[in-house]
Amino acid sequence: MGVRDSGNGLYSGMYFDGDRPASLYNKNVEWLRYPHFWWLYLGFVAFFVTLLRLTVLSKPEDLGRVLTVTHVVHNMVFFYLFHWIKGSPDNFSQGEFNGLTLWEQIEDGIPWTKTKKLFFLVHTALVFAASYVTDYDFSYLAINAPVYVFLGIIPKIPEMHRVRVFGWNKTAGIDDVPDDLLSSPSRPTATAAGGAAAAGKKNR
Amino acid sequence: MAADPSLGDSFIDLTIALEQLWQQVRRELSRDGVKEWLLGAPARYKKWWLHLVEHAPGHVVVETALILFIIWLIFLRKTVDPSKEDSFLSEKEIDQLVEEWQPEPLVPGPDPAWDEEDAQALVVEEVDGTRVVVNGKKMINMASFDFLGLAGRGEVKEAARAALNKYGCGSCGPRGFYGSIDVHVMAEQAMAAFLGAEEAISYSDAASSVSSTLPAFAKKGDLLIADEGVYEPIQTAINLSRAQVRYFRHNDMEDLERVLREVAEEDRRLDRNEREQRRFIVVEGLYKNFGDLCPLPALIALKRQYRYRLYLDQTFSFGCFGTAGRGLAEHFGVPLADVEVMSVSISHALGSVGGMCVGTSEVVDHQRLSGAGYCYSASAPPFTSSAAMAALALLEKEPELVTKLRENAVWLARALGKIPGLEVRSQEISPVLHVGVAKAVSDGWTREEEERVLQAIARACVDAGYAVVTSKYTLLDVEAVSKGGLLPEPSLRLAVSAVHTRAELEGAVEAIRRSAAGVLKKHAGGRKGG
Repeated sequence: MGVRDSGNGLYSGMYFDGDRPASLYNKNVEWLRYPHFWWLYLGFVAFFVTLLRLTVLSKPEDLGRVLTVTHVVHNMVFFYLFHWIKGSPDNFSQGEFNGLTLWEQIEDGIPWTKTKKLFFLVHTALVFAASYVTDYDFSYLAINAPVYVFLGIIPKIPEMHRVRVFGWNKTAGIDDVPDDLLSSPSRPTATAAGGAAAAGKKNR
Repeated sequence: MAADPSLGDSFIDLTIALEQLWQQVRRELSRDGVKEWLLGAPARYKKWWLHLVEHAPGHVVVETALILFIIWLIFLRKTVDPSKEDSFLSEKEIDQLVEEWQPEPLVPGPDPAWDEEDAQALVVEEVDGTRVVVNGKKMINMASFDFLGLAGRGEVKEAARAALNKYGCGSCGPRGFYGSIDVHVMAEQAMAAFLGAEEAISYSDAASSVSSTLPAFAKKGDLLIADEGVYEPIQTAINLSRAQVRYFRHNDMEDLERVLREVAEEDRRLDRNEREQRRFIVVEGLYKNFGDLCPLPALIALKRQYRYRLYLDQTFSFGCFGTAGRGLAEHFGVPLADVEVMSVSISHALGSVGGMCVGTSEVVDHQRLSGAGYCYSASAPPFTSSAAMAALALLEKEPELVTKLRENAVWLARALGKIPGLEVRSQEISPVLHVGVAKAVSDGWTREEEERVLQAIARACVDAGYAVVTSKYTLLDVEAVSKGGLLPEPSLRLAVSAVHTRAELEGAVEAIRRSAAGVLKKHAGGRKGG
């Protein structure tokens, strides 16, 4: 499993070529790595902005509001889809991803990959655009900045991998079991024939 | 049509404006223009900055922070390529790992407890009910799990022959890919009807049926509470399921309640809703490695109280208990609906080959896509399903087989119990008997010693014309102990059948008595001398 010479085209090293490590097999998230997804994603954001500009907030001075709304809605939807929903619709992974959000499943949780960096960039670009157009007005910043930091950046940093703040969104049987107990079960109390049950069970 | 004069004026204004713009651009992009712009840039920038700091400090702070973050993200933070695994370890770490690596043997060394000679040397050449010919020698079979003697019955053989002629031998495909033969479906329906369940699903092998069923329902994050004495296929199922497992002491309902209470306390402490986790209690009906029955009524009472689902493996109890052979539920008089998932075997009491899982439609339908053995193995050869159906019909017609089996088992257990130096560890009514060296005699022996003694007794029985085996446990069973399982004590394992005659059983008891006496005396002498 050495360094593979996978060429340097846009899609090099992405499609199955017989030597792919397991981190790229998760069907639930591997589609996020492809350039055509990125174009579609940016297209969605652009479409949303255009929609707002052409319909509800069409006055020129509304551009700040448009971008703020885009930024906030984008972050809320993104947070729900990537940092709240857990598990995988793949029935054959034996519950491997039951306790992991989509972000945590991407590339096996390896941080600072190209995919993840691009997501950071899009979030930053959105908040930058929204703040720049509103000229960093405090009332807009008061909405954009917390949304950016708490819904956008904090959930994505590697230190927050599998962290469940205040126990929100934790998964029974995965998050509330110490990792060593997950892989090695607890023994019954003393199994010596005729022995009375020892007080308490020992977790390994 | 007269031209609109204002339009013409506007057009002229436009051309003049464009001309002026063009001149301006030319000026600015001329060498002098650019030089002038560059020289004035720092001053202009400084003026812009100071203006900004004075009027909109927030602008400066936030924009600077964002720009710095973007620069760090793009240029300073190294991008990790997940397809290159080596990037996670430094060269030094790789070298260190390679140096530390100690290759393990491909095949672990031979287990000293296994008598290699015995394991492979006994080859069955002819089978006629309980009479077998092994290595050219006629023997009485005391080891095969043909509990009701249905494997050798004419009707079963005829059904198998007819199916063989009609369908050929193998089905050559999994169930989902034209491997579903009508006899498979008929056999499933017959089994479900016999047991009074909604549906049944058939697997081509009894052990893989057990290993496939549990992982189809329990996944990582779920909870299994298993008896520590479960046999190897269930251990495999527990491993494959990736679920969290807690063991309770073998057949000890109080210990089971202790575990259930601990889990409930943990629920309270962690503020965990029990509905967030699928929970199962995993037991066998008749334990292969111990020969004792699971106390089903007490178990079901506990299961109801703590709201768990029950997985019952009736591989060895189906056909052997109950007035009509329907297994443990009938034997104890509890409704089958209390058992959510139940595995039965057609390889043992029914004398065919394969396994089935029985339950509600929901339970069975789920396994048609999630049961690994069902989806990925070739389906059962059609003649095994036909044979199973014929055997089931026989069982329905002759429920007295079950009674006969019970009588034989009880008689044999009692007779063997009278042999000095040996003790029967299984329950009287169990058709699987575990006979070991009496505790008083084997006090101070090592496990290996006990196994060798029992192997010698078994060998002597074989010489006397009675095919007897010692129970053997694989390295997987030994491994399971470190995980909470229970390694059973060494024993002779006998399987009694409904078609054993009293004379055969008496002969077996006599052979065992003589063998045991001889071997134990020799061993005692060897111990004293050595």
